[in-house]
Amino acid sequence: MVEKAKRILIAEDEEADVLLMQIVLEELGLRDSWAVAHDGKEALDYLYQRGDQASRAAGKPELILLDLKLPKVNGLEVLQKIREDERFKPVAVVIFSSSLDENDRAQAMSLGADDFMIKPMDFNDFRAAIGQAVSAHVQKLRQ
Amino acid sequence: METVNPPPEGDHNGSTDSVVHLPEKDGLGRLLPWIWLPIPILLAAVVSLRIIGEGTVWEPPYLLGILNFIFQTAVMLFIAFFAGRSYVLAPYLSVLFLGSGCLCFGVVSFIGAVMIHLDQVNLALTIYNSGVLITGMAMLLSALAIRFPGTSGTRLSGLVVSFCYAFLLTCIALLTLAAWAGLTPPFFIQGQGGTPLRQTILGTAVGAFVLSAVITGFRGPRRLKIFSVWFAGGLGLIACGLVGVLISQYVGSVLGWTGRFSQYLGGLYILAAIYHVSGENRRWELSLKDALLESEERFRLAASSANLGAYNRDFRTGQDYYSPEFLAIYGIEEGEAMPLENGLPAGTHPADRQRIIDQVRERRSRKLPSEFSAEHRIVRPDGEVRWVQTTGRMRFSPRNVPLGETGIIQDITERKLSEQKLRRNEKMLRDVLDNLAALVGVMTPDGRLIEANRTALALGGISREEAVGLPFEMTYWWSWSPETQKRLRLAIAKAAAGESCRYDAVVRMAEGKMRTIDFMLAPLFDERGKVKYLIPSAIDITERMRTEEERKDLIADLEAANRELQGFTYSVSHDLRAPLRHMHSFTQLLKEKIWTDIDEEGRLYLEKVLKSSRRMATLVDELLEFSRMRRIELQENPVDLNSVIAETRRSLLVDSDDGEILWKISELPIIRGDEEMLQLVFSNLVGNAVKFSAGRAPAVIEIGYRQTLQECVLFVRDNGIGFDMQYYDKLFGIFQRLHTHEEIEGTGIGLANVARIVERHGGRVWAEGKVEEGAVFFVALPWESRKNGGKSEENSDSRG
Repeated sequence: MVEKAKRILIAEDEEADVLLMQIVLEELGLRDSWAVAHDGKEALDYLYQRGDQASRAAGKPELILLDLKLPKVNGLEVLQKIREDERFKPVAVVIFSSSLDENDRAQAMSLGADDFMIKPMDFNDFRAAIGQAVSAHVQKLRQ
Repeated sequence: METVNPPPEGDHNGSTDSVVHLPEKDGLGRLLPWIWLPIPILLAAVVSLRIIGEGTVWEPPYLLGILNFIFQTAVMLFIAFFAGRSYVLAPYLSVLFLGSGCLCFGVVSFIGAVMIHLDQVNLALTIYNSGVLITGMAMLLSALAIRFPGTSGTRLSGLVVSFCYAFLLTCIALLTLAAWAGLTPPFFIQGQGGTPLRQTILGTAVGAFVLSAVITGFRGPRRLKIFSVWFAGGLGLIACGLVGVLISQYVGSVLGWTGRFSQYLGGLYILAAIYHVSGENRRWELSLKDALLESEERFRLAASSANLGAYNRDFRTGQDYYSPEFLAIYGIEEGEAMPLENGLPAGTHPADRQRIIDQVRERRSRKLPSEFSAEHRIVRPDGEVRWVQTTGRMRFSPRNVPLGETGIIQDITERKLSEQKLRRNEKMLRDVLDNLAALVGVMTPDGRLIEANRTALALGGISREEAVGLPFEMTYWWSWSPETQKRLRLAIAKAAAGESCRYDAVVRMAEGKMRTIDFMLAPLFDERGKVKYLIPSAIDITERMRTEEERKDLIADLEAANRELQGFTYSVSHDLRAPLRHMHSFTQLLKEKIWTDIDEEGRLYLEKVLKSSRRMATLVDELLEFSRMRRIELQENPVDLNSVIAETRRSLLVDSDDGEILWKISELPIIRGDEEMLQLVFSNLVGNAVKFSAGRAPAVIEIGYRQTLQECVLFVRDNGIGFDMQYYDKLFGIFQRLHTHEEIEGTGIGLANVARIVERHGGRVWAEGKVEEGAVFFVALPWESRKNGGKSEENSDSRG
């Protein structure tokens, strides 16, 4: 069965965070419209349809929720690769990081991230942050 | 002293005397070609009288005695006296023997004459002929001594003459007594002449005379020509007379008288010779005196104008002269005599007296040079001690007899005092140099060490002799490594060109231990700006270097540990944050899901979990902030504290909905600092004030400052619950709290952050408080931030 390309790519190694994001996205009515990559390599494989993802249906996500501290290839490298490729130009990348480091933010923004968010402690804030990212970058909700 | 002609006696061994120029202008010199003439005439007369008959025997009473006394005894004794005196002045053996011979001849002639008068012909001839033999031998010795000159010691010459003369007289007396007592064999029989014994004795005597005449006359020194020719002539005439006596068979015959006449004439010849010598002596002394007087006069003029005292001592006459200036220096009034003690001025300092006496004695015996210069002290009659310098010369006869001493003295007290002062100063400087902790030396511009202080020698473990005189790079300290020496040579060349240089060097110290020194080489210029000396100096900085190294290591270790700790703090708080967030989020989700399904107790538990995780989140965030405060660079800019406080109040009013607060805020200055950090400081302090004064009605918070020259002291005062000063030391420590969470919310990181930020600005924080009466927090910030940031990166002093 060939799966349809998803609208949102969650690049996050923490299962708990993935779950929290899924809860919020479901609340936002985006059931089944996301894919999950558990490390940077997987994220890039997804985008380029290679490796495990070689057989998936063509199509680009509209939004990538990208963690910075990813195994194998870290978030910033993933971001750099995406932004170097003209084909992914329309793809929005929002960094969802737990880093409070200002350098990380500055670096991510200079590499062409669309937004940089620190994962909030309070779930309501988390909910609002995801909502903001989705409403800003995912077509359906904007319509 | 003027050069004068010494007397024409003997060959002088002494080197002090000038070349002799003999003035041959006296009568004795002019008669020289004729003096041999009587000898052949008289000899011929004697021989022919013996052949043709001796003639009438004529021996009137007293005549022979009188003639012998006048022409032989008196003349010969006179000669003996002269010779004796001459020997005392100049101990030439020839003179001693000549004197002895003449003494003997004179005495036996007289005794012989007296015996003949007493009709004791045999006796007379025994004594006379024996005496003549002794005389002949003495003359022979004298002639040999002239031919082979030599002197005996000078000191005992008087004694030698006395002993010699006395010995001869004793011998003659013994001979006379023996002959008188008939102990001697017969010598002469009237009409027959001498017995074989007498002929042998007399013949030997004649031979001795002839031989000595020949030696003196023909082989005598040319310089002594007048003396030796007259002497030889005298000896020849006496020999001729003795031949007459030898061959005569009748005492009192014409032949005998001719012989006697010949002997008288011979005596006169010898007298002439001696007269000539003493005449020369006299002329020499006179010229010496003239020269002295003249030079003395000249000298006196010069001396008195130069304030020099002059003196002249005459050892023979004992008449010493001291100039008025000399007396003045000794503090003796003019016109008074110089008081003497053992021949020296009585004012000579007792401590110097013996030394001077010893020196005079050694000069007299020529163990010291005749010219001298010596410094000594004198004591004036009023007790004042002065220093004088005596410069002079001792005079000697050509035969090394000391005649006197002439010299000048100069008062050198002032010079001596300044010398002493100079020496004291020198010693003080030397002591200072030696007692310096630094190693110091002096060297010539070409790098030869000429002085090194005690510290340098002691640290090097070497003696002065081992270092001084060597090229500096060859000395023990430096000679251990060619590289070190090369560097030093370059430094020396640079310093010799007038440029001082300084660098750290490793040198060898005692027992081969290597030490690091801070070495400096400085040129020392003379008044014309030329490099005169080079001054190497050094301080042992081995310990300092070691301490510095240790300190650097320690700091590096600390910094590493600090970095590690910071990294640890950061990653711990960072990594804690994620699970905490998950716990919190899922608890919130759980709460939403089950809130309506659970009872009151369950809801309370759920709320407690949420509250705890929130508090832990705050804690972690502040911990992260704290570690960030330690890490980030200060961004220093002018900061308007008024806007900082305004911003703080704004954020607090948003956060806090507590009751009324009475603010008393002064107008604050602008200072240099990191705005963001200072913002954090004040939000902590003011936040605390708000927090701790909650519940007061009204809460009063006062913010103000006072200033000193160096710093701006800000304070935040509240009327809250205050704190117990007993726990003051916990106030600014991280995670230290003075109140329970139930009383006051907080993590215990805020004030630690404040302290840290203020420290990084080079300032100080402190607080005063009283339980239930409020607290004041002070922040002193320097006007000019030192920006040390707690990082010890001192600018190390790099040289050379």
